[in-house]
Amino acid sequence: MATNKRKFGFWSVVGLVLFTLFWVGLLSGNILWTSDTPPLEIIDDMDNQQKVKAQAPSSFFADGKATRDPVEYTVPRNGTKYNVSLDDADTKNINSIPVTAEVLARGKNRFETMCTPCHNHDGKGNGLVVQKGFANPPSLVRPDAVAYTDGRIFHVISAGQNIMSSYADKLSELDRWCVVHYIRVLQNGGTHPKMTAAPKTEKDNQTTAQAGTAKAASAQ
Amino acid sequence: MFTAKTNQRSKTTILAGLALLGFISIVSYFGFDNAVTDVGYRPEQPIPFSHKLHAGELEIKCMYCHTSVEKSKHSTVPATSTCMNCHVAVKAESPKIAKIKESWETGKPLEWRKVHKLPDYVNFSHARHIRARVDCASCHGEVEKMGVVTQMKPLSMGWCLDCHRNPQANVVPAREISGIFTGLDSYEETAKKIKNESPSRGEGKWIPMKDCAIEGAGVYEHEVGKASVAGLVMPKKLALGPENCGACHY
Ligand code: HEC
Ligand code: HEC
Ligand code: HEC
Ligand code: HEC
Ligand code: HEC
Ligand code: HEC
Repeated sequence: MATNKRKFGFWSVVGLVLFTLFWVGLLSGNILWTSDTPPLEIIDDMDNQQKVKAQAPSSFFADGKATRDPVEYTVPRNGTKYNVSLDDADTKNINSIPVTAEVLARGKNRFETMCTPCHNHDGKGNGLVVQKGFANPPSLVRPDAVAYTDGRIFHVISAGQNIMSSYADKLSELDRWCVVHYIRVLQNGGTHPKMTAAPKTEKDNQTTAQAGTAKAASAQ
Repeated sequence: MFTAKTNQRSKTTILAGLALLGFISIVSYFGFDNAVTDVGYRPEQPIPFSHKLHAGELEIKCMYCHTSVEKSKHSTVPATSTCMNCHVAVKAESPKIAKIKESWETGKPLEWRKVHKLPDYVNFSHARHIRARVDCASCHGEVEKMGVVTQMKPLSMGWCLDCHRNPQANVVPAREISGIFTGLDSYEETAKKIKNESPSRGEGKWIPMKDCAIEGAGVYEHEVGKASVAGLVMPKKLALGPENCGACHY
């Protein structure tokens, strides 16, 4: 009888410890397991409403898409459709965005986001995606490219060129001009040739200039 | 009247019953809480697309694919054409890419399975958080290390409020891999600023709520930093997130 009791006590302690550990582990917020089934919803308050949601399927339209394609021959209300030909690019695309520290910072950010996979941080090509088998683009800092007009570079970004596709859907017109300005910074070794408006503070000046030169230096 | 054995048995039964009741209530209270049910949701996608490869190894910034985060509430999952920017040439013949090519040729969109889902009555905006330089990792974990996207945070109301009340402890400042625009500051400076300057609860101007039955109800209002320069979206200074119901519920 006495031994029996001791046994019972031992196993209940072990059970209790395991039980506690299980719940502490589960509730401490660490993922113990992952699941392929959608989270359980016992009471669907108003969680799933019958409305059109971005990028969701819709049974209302014949093609099943809730996000509508633009109607043919129309442009978005605040947007433009780029339809300048390469021959007109030099004269029709006029860069009217002033060169300021903000514009260059934006241009750097967008270039690093959209272009570095192929053109690399310094614009010389051989980015990480190119190393995995994409066509190597020509250097953006070679003399030929320095001689391109702003409008020509704008054209390549907006309409694409051969295997490089258009980035008009990813970059607004303003962003594209910012990128063009930043390419000039890369070509000029870290400063913009037309940096007229003096940066507001000494610190601003340093950060933009340093950012450019640091990348250029790291490539060599 | 009762034997000792019966006495013992009824005691055990009562104890066992209580334990079972406790177990059931713990399971039903915590077990169905979103912290437990939602976290770890990892649906299999129609294409074995890997963030670990694309964002982690190839260092493609999040915003290359999720372009709309800084402008809209919704963070778009990229269109097929975005994949084809590279996959026209890279691994174009791979069977794993076949479905993308088919979608590209027929115009029929790929049906990715949604991972993170808030109830439809919640008003959440990506743009507002991204413009305040809150990194994706604050809410999605380190996606660039995931082979398959997994939900890491509960997305419950308590979780939103924890951060709104105490951003200092919960915000991961913008990182380079996300491609979030930090204005004139570098990413290191941004991180330092957010650590040093993020407000704590109770700062700001207290605006009492008018005609409210609850005594002492109101909101703190914060100065909103400059948000655009010559049409360019600029990042804002980090403020406290809202706690008033109307901000997150329609
Ligand atoms: C997927 C890889 C890829 C990305 C991303 C990419 N490009 Fe390109 N780019 C190329 C390739 C390849 C070429 C060469 C095209 C050709 O054969 O004419 C090219 C050509 C160019 C040219 C013309 C160079 C010349 O001398 O003719 C410019 C300018 C350019 N890219 C700018 C950009 C900018 C700006 C971005 C970012 C918005 C960008 N590219 C993003 C691959 C890419
Ligand atoms: C090459 C394009 C690409 C890049 C770069 C990329 N993503 Fe994605 N992302 C996708 C695609 C496609 C999906 C949908 C398929 C999936 O869920 O895996 C997705 C899904 C997601 C989801 C889940 C969406 C949902 O349904 O809830 C999150 C969160 C996410 N991405 C965050 C990120 C973050 C953070 C980064 C940067 C570290 C990033 N992504 C980089 C293409 C990309
Ligand atoms: C900026 C370029 C780029 C973009 C955009 C891109 N990928 Fe990739 N992807 C690559 C590269 C490069 C590889 C090959 C890496 C290697 O060779 O190891 C790859 C590999 C893959 C693979 C593995 C193929 C295999 O056979 O192993 C899949 C699947 C894939 N990508 C899906 C996608 C999807 C889906 C999208 C769109 C959301 C996308 N990719 C967008 C560059 C890109
Ligand atoms: C403050 C928290 C937060 C931050 C920061 C955040 N997200 Fe999200 N994200 C969410 C929530 C919440 C959802 C679910 C939205 C819904 O269901 O309506 C979501 C959904 C998504 C989705 C699925 C599509 C959608 O909008 O429903 C993608 C893709 C995504 N996020 C990518 C990103 C990327 C990339 C970043 C960084 C640039 C980012 N998120 C930053 C909280 C966040
Ligand atoms: C990692 C921290 C963090 C998390 C998590 C977070 N937020 Fe926020 N949120 C912020 C910050 C910081 C701001 C203030 C942004 C600013 O300064 O403009 C904010 C602002 C907002 C605003 C804007 C308020 C207004 O007046 O327009 C809304 C709405 C909001 N959050 C909703 C949510 C919801 C819903 C969730 C949960 C799904 C959430 N947030 C999760 C940090 C967070
Ligand atoms: C920071 C944003 C935020 C604020 C502020 C907020 N909520 Fe919520 N609320 C949420 C989110 C997110 C959910 C969905 C949580 C979930 O998925 O279960 C939610 C869910 C709810 C629910 C439904 C719970 C359920 O499971 O059915 C109620 C009721 C609610 N909130 C009431 C309020 C009230 C009352 C206030 C004001 C005191 C408030 N909320 C303020 C974000 C917020």
